[in-house]
Amino acid sequence: MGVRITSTLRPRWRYIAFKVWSERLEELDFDGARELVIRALSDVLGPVGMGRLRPWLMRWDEELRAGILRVERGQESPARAALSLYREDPELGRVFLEVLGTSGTVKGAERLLSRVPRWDVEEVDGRTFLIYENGEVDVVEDGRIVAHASYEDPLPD
Amino acid sequence: MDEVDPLRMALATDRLGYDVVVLSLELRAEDLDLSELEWLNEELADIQDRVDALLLPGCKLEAESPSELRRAIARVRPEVYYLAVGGGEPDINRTALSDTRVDTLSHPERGNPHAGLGKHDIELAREKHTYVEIDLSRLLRRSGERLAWQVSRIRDLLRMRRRKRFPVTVALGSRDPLELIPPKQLEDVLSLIGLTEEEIEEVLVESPREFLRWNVACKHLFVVPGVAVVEDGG
Repeated sequence: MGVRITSTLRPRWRYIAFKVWSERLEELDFDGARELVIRALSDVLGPVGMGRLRPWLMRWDEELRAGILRVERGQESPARAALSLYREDPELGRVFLEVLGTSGTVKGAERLLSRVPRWDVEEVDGRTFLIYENGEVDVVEDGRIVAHASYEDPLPD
Repeated sequence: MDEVDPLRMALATDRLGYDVVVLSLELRAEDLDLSELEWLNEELADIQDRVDALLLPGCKLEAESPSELRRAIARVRPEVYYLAVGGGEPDINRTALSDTRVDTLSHPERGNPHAGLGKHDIELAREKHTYVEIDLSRLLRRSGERLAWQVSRIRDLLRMRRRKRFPVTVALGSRDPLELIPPKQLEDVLSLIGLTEEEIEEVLVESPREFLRWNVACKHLFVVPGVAVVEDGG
């Protein structure tokens, strides 16, 4: 039986909802996302800095490419900064880990996931277009974003 | 922004929650083509009503010779609301800081193992009220040891600023949507580097607001302080 900890000794947590934007659009399952977060935090903060956060990936939505990361209370700011500063990943190429918000509860963080913009996928002449609800368009070739465009000019030179 | 169309950048910054966005072109002073700025102005006028954020045109000048830089500043200034000069070389840094028409000297530390500013440069920045800009894209494009060196250069700049109180601001310098950061995350990055809450408010909100407000007010009659405008009695 594990050690019981009284509520006053129990650590307090904060939940960071985040979305992964990347150059390469490979499938990212829970384990892949967990490794990505660990790479990001240890790359920027180092092992000791990452240990101070006590990070734990709680949820991962493969379709949205978004998840919830648990960190110790008071350590949200360095965690968010480390996610922002991680820009090049060996698996996904150029990445941007967008923080959607921070919450004190898992339920609150789940609500933040609704901020992820929805998109449609269209195939034209062997090219794939990711069309986001706000008019942004990403042009994809061979699983990699080759151009960032908009609904007015979806086929830049 | 050179490789991405302005509408896409405007939509992406709008989604991330920015209120005011300066979309800048990076031009070389030696082969300056003002038609590119005219194109940017027209594009921004077209797309302004499609986003909530206020869009302003800007320009970042890169130069090798101070004389070419001075000529280019005079030509570019009336076209934009924000004029930055890409620094690094000591004579370019000094030329930019001594010209009141320049809003910011961007990355003076480029190519230097320190902040890139000396005693005279700091005095010039204070006297002419030219902002020294921390270009965050230079931080975001680095990792490992290079990231560590870049952080030390920025901290060197902060150390000088705390002693001498010269104007400093921050720019994202993003070239595509993958290089953007929401404002809240930007505060966290600056806090991790070592800026205090007051400094973050000052460099991230107050400084850009101050020079953009000034430039919007003076757009079509940009007057260099110290030069009197006189009526032609003739």
